[in-house]
Amino acid sequence: MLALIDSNNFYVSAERVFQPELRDKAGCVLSNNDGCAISRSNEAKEDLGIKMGTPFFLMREKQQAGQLWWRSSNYTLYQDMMRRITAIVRDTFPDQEIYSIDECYCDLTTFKCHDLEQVALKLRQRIFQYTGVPVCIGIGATKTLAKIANKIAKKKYRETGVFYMDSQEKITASLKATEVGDVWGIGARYAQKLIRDGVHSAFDFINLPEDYVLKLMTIQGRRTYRELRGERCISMEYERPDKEGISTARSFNCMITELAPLEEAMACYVANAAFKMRSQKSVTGKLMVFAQTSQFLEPSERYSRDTVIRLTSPTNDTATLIKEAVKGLRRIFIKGYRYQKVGVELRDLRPDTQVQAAMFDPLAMERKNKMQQVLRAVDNLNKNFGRDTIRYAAMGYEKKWAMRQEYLSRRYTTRIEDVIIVNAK
Amino acid sequence: MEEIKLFERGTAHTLIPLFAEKIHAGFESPAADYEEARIDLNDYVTKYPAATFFARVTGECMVGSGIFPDDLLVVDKSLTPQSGDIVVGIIDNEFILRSYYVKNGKEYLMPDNTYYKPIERTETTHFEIWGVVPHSVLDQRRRNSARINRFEQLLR
Repeated sequence: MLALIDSNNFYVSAERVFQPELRDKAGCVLSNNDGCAISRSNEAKEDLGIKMGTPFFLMREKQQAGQLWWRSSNYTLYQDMMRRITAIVRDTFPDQEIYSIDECYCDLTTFKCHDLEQVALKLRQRIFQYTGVPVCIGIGATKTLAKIANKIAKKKYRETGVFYMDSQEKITASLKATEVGDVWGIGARYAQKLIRDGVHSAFDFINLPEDYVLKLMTIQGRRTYRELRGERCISMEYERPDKEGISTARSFNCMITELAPLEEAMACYVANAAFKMRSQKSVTGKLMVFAQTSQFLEPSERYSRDTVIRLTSPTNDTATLIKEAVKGLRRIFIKGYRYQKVGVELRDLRPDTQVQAAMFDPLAMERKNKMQQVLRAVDNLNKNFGRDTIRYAAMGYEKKWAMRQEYLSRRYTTRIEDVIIVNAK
Repeated sequence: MEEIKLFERGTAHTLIPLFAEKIHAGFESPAADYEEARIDLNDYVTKYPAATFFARVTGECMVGSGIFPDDLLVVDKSLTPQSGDIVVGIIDNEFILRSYYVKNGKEYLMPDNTYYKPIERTETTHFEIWGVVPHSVLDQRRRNSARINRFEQLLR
């Protein structure tokens, strides 16, 4: 059996742990740039009809009327809460795959226990007590079935939050209650085709002949089909492979026409990506930079271009990378367009141990070692005292172009200045 | 620095002193076999790091328990409150610091101050226990002036 543990409205729930005044009230967490809703409380979904992606301006009236609260996305906080939850889960179910920021799969094959449901109920209770975040647990024979079980736990068993698909009757009833388009792995396009062919529920789907599914939806579709029939086709991924490329790109809060602020933003994104790369102990041999305008402009005002820069030797040094990325940006920048986004992707990543030593140049070797020490010190300072404590001059100070995050809560769990205040009056 | 380290709870802070210097051929350090991990304050103050949070105190109602304004609290949500514990509770959507008592099946919260009456948990006065405070961190140097004042008064 496999379990899928999924936090309910994770970002909203994480905010509520440290801000009790947000409980029981409709609220949502906004996307990067405060653009739209990306996590909603049950009240916001059910009473106010706020959807995933409802834009900021459509919710403003409700927020001003006091019917709705909102927060900018506080990823530092969510990441830390996720780490806590996965650690607690691991104490019960050690074979764990962290699938996303709010979901993890656990393989229960080796788990010796007669009453899995009881164990899951206890675990759910413990996660809630220890972190304040409510989760739901779905248990099924495959990842795809566990996902369905989890959805049912969320919808039908809100109080207990656990659904264990342990009998053929439960599986059949669950598949009948699941629309084919809601099955993990069946995209909107295939769902449309299936519905046209009279396949409405997941149950209809598994009763199709396998050849038919293979023909219509290729091997991917057959994998989902077999998973739904209880055959494990998607295995657990315990070790995340190192990311192939690391990219950072964000939209500005306004259109930018000048080169200087674009360079500043580029430098910031490069510094960010380089930091991530060093923390996974990699170096990069190639970087891709791009600049683009909004795609919603008139065609004559639209522009999008990228360029790839090959480095003479792989590096993890922020200063070198900023220099190269800015060079690339100057190459693709054309005056006259109103830019909305620039970004960088570090490619051709390899372990930093694979870097060829400059064997015949002891001086260069020593310079390199010194640089590594400096980078490590800078990374540690930024980790401990907050991002951008030490920064490169090219990154600028004002960041007028930076993302809007006007409704950001504090970093309650990672910064000592930001911890909750407890009243002893 | 010390305070910030408290936050970064993790294996990285279990510092193990390794002998980094080259050991000259001939004499091995006689202490090499006696290496131990250094004392880690985190191990002492938290039983369950994933459920441990920190908080800052405002107000003086817990002075009787040695908790002063601006002190740092270790809050462990994995602990079940026992009678006599100091807890972080929530009343009227606000985090409050009180001591916790159970008597005859009834639960109470009380400031450590004789002028206050205990609050009983009932249908109408609802409170929630957010976490138990097993330790608090008092910055002794911040209390220097208070001690000096007392000293001066006694001299007079």
